[in-house]
Amino acid sequence: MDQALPKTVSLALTPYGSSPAVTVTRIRTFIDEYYDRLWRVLRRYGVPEANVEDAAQEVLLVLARRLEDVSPGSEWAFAYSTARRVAADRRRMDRARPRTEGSEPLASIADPRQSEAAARADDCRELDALLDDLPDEQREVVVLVELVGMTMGEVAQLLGVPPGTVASRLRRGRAHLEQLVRSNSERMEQSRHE
Amino acid sequence: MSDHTEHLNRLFKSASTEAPSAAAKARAIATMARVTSAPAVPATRVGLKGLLGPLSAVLCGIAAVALVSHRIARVQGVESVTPPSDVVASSPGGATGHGQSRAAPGPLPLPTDPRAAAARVVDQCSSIALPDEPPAVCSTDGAPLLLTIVNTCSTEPVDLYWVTFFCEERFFKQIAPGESVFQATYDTHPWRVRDHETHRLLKEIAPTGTAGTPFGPVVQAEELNRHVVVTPLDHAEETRPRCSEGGGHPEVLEVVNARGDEATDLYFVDGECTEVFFTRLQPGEDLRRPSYSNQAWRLRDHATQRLLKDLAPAAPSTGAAAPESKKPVAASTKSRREFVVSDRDHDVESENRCSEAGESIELSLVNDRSDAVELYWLDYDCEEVSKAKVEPGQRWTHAASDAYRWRVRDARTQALVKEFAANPDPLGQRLLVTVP
Repeated sequence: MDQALPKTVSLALTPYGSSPAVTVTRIRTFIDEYYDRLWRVLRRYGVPEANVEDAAQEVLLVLARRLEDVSPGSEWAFAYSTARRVAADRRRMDRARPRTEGSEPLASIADPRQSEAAARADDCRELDALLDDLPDEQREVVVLVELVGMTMGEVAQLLGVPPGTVASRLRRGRAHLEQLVRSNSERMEQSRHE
Repeated sequence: MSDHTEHLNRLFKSASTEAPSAAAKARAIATMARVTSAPAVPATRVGLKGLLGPLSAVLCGIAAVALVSHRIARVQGVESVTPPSDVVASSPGGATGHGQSRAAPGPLPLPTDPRAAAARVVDQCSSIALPDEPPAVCSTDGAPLLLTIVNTCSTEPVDLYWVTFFCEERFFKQIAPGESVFQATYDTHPWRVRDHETHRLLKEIAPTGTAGTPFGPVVQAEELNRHVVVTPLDHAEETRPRCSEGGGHPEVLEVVNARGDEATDLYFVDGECTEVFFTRLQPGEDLRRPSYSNQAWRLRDHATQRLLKDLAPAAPSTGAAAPESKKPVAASTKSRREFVVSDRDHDVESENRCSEAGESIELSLVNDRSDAVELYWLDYDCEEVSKAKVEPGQRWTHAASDAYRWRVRDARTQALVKEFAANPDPLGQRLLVTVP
């Protein structure tokens, strides 16, 4: 791992109080293993795609600053709770901001070559709207298992709850989502007839 | 499994495929490596841009002299930034977009040794840095526009940012060196181009729908001015070429060799009217490079050196032409406009833009796609009227008005390939070619 580190890393003490080599190695290991997961969590907690990289950087900074307090092996748990807070902060700021309808440029939707990507983006928007309607405890289990790809055991450990609780939250979360999909579909059908 | 369960699973699948790019991950690694070895920075509420602040400070110091000279140049009324003279001299062909002065762009000197030329352009864009002030113009509502952005930097990837309705920069995509991207946008939306590594501002793409114009020397964001597809149908009479001249405006020349199995040679016609071999285009190959509107190019069959197409400057020559080319040409009663559709073309339908009365022209459509296309005339009420079906490799020619609007659809799927008018139009400009 050390060999892969950038050569410019200095050997001076880091501002975070631990040796730079340890800090850099832990952060680098964390990014290698968990960056995708972190990115997906931020996305599914409502951070727009264009801002996810920035939000992830914010989480990494907090992790780096608090690394001394984070026991080895607990980095993901720490980052996950930080990511939820960062996402919530960003959503709050976003809500406070005035919106302009149709403010997105044509971008991808105008390009048929990107229609698959556009359809995927539509799906993601729809899913995010559905997730917004889930109770928080169900949402986080659905996100972590179905979308981030963690096992129920890992989620149980992360959240500090028994595996059975995770399973039941997941089951109820899925049922809730299916109910929401059904309601939306019926509503669309009704408006079409009107 | 119910439809709703299936639908939900599809949503899960779509969301699961979303992932950060490798570049984003690499940026995170690089940034964190710097941050964890740098002097303390306030870590809370610091986004990516905040992290780049300390780096920018160092870069700003280095670039200060350049910034001062940029500002002076602008005060003196020079729109484009003038880089150091050695950088100008290193531009391959003198027309890479870097260091071009709009006031007096010179002719296009050709590199004699490609390896030597490549060695000279290693740091082509590294010294460019525009004054990095917050965007002064935000996006507003406007008309659709298809923007083509060509990264003419030799080594540096660049990042494209959209300036939002709130005047914030929003990252859109990365463009590799030499890569061209098409970006659907509006004519009232500003864009910015930054160096991927250092975040230096390299180019402002001002909205064309307002008074501003693009400035900055590195990335040419103009529409494609000369888009040429050479097909098996092409052949031209062997005449003495028109010479290239100085002046003219920068443009992007794109040549697509669609001649089946035949290679095509591209020649630059220099100021002495001599054809200088520039490059060979293999079948299916596509070349895109900066040029000037007053520069002449020719396409010849590689095997026989038969002249296929003469890409003479659109504007009439005023003095540097060869004697032979000054001979009066048989005047055509109608100007001719040729449009080419290729497999890469795709378009969006305009709204409420119908045909209007205009000047008579002879309109040609060349189908360079692998599938047949159907040409529709948009009548005065914006209704599509089918005019012709054009098979692959075929050309359709007809009398028309230059203010007529047309739509080209894939004959099988009816997907819109291109909408255009023969007169200058934001949706059609990039295809406009005048047949000599």
